[in-house]
Amino acid sequence: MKYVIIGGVAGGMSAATRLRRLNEEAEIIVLERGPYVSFANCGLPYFIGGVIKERSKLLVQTAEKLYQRFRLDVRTKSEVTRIDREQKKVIIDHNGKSYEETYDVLILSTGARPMRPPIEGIDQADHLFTLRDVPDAEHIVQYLQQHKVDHAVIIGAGFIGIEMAENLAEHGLKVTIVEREHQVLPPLDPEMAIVVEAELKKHGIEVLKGKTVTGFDENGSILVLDDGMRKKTDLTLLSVGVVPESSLAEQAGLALGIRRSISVNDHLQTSDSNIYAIGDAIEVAQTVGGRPAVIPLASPANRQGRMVADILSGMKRSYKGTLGTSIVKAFDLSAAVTGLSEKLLQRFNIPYEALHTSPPDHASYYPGSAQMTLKLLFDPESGKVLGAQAVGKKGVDKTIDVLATAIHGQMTVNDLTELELAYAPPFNSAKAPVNLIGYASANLLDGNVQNVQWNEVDQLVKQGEMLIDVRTEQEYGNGTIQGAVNIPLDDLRERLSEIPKIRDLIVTCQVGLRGYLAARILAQNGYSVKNLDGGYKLYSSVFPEIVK
Amino acid sequence: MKQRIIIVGGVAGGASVATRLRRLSEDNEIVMYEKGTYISFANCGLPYYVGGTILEKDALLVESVENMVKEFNIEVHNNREVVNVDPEKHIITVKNVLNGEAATDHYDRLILSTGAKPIVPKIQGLDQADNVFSVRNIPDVERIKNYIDAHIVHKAAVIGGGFIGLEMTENLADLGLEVTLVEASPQVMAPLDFEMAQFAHEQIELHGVQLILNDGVARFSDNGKTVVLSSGKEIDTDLTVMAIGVLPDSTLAQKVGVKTGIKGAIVVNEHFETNVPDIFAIGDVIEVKDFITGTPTLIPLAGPANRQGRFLADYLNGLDAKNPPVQGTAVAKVFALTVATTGKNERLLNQAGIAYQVVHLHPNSHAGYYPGAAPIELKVIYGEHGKILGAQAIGTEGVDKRIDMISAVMRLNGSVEDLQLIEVAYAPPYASAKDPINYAGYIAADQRQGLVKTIEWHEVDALIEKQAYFLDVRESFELAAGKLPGSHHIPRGELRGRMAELPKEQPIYVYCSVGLRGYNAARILALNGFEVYNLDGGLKTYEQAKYETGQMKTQPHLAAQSGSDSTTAQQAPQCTKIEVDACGLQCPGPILKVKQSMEKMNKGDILQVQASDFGFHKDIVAWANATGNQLLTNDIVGNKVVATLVKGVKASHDDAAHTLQAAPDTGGATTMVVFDGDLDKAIATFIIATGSAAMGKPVTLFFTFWGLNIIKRHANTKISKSGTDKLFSMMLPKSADHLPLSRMNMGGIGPKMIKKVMADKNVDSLAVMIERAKQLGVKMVACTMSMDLMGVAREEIIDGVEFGGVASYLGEAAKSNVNLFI
Repeated sequence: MKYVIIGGVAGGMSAATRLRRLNEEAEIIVLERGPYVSFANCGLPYFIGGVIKERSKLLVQTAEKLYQRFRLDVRTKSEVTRIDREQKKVIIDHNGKSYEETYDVLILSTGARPMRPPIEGIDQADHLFTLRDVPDAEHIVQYLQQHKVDHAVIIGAGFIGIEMAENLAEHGLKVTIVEREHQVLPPLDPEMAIVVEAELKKHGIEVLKGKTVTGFDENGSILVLDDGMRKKTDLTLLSVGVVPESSLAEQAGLALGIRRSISVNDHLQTSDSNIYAIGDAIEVAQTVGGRPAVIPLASPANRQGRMVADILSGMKRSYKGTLGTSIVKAFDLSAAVTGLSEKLLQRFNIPYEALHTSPPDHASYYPGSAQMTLKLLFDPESGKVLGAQAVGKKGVDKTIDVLATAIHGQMTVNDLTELELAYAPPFNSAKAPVNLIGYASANLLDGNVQNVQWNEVDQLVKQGEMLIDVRTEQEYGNGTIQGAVNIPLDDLRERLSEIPKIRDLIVTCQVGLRGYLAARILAQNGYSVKNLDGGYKLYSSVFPEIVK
Repeated sequence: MKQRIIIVGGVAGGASVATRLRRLSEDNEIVMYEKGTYISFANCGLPYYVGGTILEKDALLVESVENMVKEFNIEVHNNREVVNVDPEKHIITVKNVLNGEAATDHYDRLILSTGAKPIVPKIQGLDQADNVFSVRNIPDVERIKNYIDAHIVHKAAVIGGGFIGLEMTENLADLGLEVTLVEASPQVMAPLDFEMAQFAHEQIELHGVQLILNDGVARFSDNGKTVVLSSGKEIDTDLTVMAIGVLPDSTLAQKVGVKTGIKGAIVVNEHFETNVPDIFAIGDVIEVKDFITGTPTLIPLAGPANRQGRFLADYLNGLDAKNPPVQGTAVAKVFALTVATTGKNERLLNQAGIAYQVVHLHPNSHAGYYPGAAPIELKVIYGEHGKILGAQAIGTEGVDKRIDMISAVMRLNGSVEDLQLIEVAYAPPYASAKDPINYAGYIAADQRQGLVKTIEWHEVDALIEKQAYFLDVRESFELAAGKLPGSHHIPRGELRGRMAELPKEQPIYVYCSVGLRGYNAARILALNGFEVYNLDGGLKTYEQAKYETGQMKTQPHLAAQSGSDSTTAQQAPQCTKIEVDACGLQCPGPILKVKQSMEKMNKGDILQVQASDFGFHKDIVAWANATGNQLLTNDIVGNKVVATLVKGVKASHDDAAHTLQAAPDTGGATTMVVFDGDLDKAIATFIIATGSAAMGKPVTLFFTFWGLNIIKRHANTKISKSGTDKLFSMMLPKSADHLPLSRMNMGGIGPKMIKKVMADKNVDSLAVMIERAKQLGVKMVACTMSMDLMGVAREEIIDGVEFGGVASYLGEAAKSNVNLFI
């Protein structure tokens, strides 16, 4: 059997090594366009920032080692220019010379390339970079070494944009991020992303939201924004997203899916039964909701690589879909997401309930604990978990990983309450953040409490609902939501007579817990009451300017 | 209907049930009786209060009495002990602990949340000892703190190596005390299996604690100043903590006819109902259902207690809630290590007669190339249909996260297949693209499908005794840090070419350091028809299981003596000091980094290396001994091992020069012109080259004409060539694997023979010699002019070769005192 794999990073190399472990006799050829195979592309921003000091650390394998260990015929600087499906062969360009290689099975692991929008002047722009592979990173490092670079502009505040902002700032550069949407980190919902934005600003990064770059002026040293602003830059990184690298597949007439990704069935097989495809180039089904999507992440790519080798070796496997769990470090914060966001649930018209909590990552009496902001999205009927997001200094990865596991297991919020998570004071609380948000969600599901969201409360107050801040007088004095009256929780039972029964009530506290307690007291006393989800903390982080 | 609900015990479960009851109903009267002064305190934080990590006592008070009253409208009676119950009349008798006054109260529902109490066995001399303490509540730890403040305390003994015992050990050690930990069983932390507990044993000893296993307390003498063990051993102590376990505190329950089971634990149904109407029980005092076996068991943990409190409140308010079976997920900090477990271990599965399989692995906590990565020692146990039965993990980072995920998979009866599919949040600071739990799933799934057969660490010794064929597939230099006695050695990279050496008639037991290369080798051999087994967890698991307690010198922070007889080269001021970070390195890991760094150094230079794998602490001792380098220090600093070495006087480049006798360093350089491309000449070239390089001489090999064939790459790189170039290409050997012999070539039979002889005599193959020469810094230059003449493209030449003309040769030759033409 002769396997030819196009693309020698992540998925491609996982497929190749696994194929060898399962078939000692097969001929396995890996064709990689670039000079390196199997490099750690997720480490590139940290290499640029100097956190990873040796370039060699990024190079996970070399062609030589892969031959020695796995008898893989790995050919770098070998770009496939055409697939001949009739003859089952590929045409390869190596240093300007062209030759052919036949295949029995072809695996496309062509990845995704940075998007390059047709902005005026983009082709004349100097010191404009994208970041996809080791040579890209080397270009940036060289440029930083050889030029006086004071100010960098990053276009696009996605994961790579944020990581690059941090690394360039750590390098001593003044960094500006320009983002088209009205928030950073578009995979997150806005009230979660705002916490990250604050962290970026705290570290001196200028964040320009809701703005697009419309032109590159003076050979790219001036960026022109849609509001007319002109931004000087010594180094510009374009990180507005990636597109599936599917031109080979398209030329070969393979079926394509959304955003020109390569269509595959659950055996990762394309419309040609001898051609398989994996990684960032393919269309996958979202685990939650099953809709088609392009989810360019390293873990799924690796998993698909291994799975395609299993399938080709006769094992029973099928690729069910991608959850899309991801995480980014932004200075001292971590921000992570799994499943669907509220934005996507709305776009897909999927009914949901949202809930925010602010638990400490571990017992607050043990030193070093830090509060995180945690958001859970679940089905209002069945309670099934649909998605989750977390932002904080500690425990974010663990919390989201456990919730990703829960979604994988199709758990409901009630199941979350039963999860038995490892507890000792340095690591967790006896009621872990995941348990607590499960409890709070179960309360919503059971109708023990009704919630109102951060973006609904102002409108409701305007409509005449009474907003009661149940925090202490001192907390209230330090700032509250406009229109709120103060009745501390401890006094609530005694002061019920002050609250008119005819009005609909909203209660709020700092993070939502005391509000919930107040809501329970009021509800049991015959009031119609809602609790402000996430409390004053969440509200004031989104609207810092309109709190009193 | 308004009810009066009385709760006995105001901590964990009791506090949870009280507050939840109130949140669900404003009407009911909720009454709490607590015999202590404090309610709802953080008992899991108690050891850290003793150690001073938690400074304020108030920090331990989760809910104050005042808060319970004001925020939750709960009637709280602290310092009140419920001494009797009249179930018929629904009346309790209460004693005021402070003044002894008795009172009664009426209940509609009674909830017992009386917890568990430390076991204090009747030991001779205990009554005369005023320095023996247990740790259950705030007054207990205050007594310990007061005792330390008021007395001169240098030495402490902790009896019992469970979670509390270990936490107390660490905290007392943190206070600067000399601590002895005594455990009656062969290991600490019963939820771990022995080989995993060995990591904890080493960690405890690395931090200067004296660890005594398999020994119990026979008596106290000298008013508690001496602990006499069953073995007769005596321990001097100024302060002793008894932490040999807890028992359900069910005195009250038993008194009033509530049915009890294991160790006196209260028997409840899934709704927490006891056999007595209107009496319920939750928390450490009850029997729970084991998640795996379905049988009753005791699992005194805070998490389940809190959950039970909440679920009981739900049930009493008509909500659907049942006591879920308990997995027993637990975690503890043991100095720099985190130790976590969930589900059942091997010992308990054997007892229960449940069949299982295990996998051991040692993956990095996050991407190895991002700073701070450290190994996680992970063990996953699975049963029929791949269902996960338990997991254990130990490491400095990311341990709790992995156990939590596995615990969640178990909750829905998930299998090892699920572990493969969990999509973990990945960015280099947090995880790897293939997370440790994915890896565990992959390995286990391969086992299940029969892709690889494994043996466990505890099967090794018997196999060695039976003279089984063990095959070590690590690189040569790794052997210096230890190997299995009598094992054979073929580095994995050479395996395909040397299979003829292996016996077909008997099973082959393959191993490497952590199991990964062993697995790859096992696949190669299995696909070639051998009966092969891989050692699960590799040498690391086996060697850790063999760890011997009590062998470490009493001052582990100080340098271990390297047994080398090198002169005591102290830090001479002119020495260069090189610092190396070997954290998060993939196997073969830190030792390779040390070796490579040492090679670049001069005699007497000092290397400081830090590693995040604690196994490095003993590996470096063995390596230094074997290679004649001197180990100056070998310390535990935070969660890292920091060692310094002096490059020894007789330091050899381990086995690199094993084909040559070591010769005195005569200075000068070696240059060779390699003209011929015959296999025998090539071998001679590289023997001389590696030999001289091993003696510290700079070596340059200048490849020209037919000699270029030696350094062609293996992969049949297809390069379009024209005319004569193409012709040459077809006629010339493709790579070092295809070289002819200068004599007795016999149409290619000769080279095959010599390769077999080399393999039989355990001489490295040419490819390995070339690789080693590169590692030793042998400079290889390909002559560009002859490349042109022979039609050899640069792409055809192996990596690491420079290109140059005659000038570069002459330049090197001028510096050399050995100059050969081959």
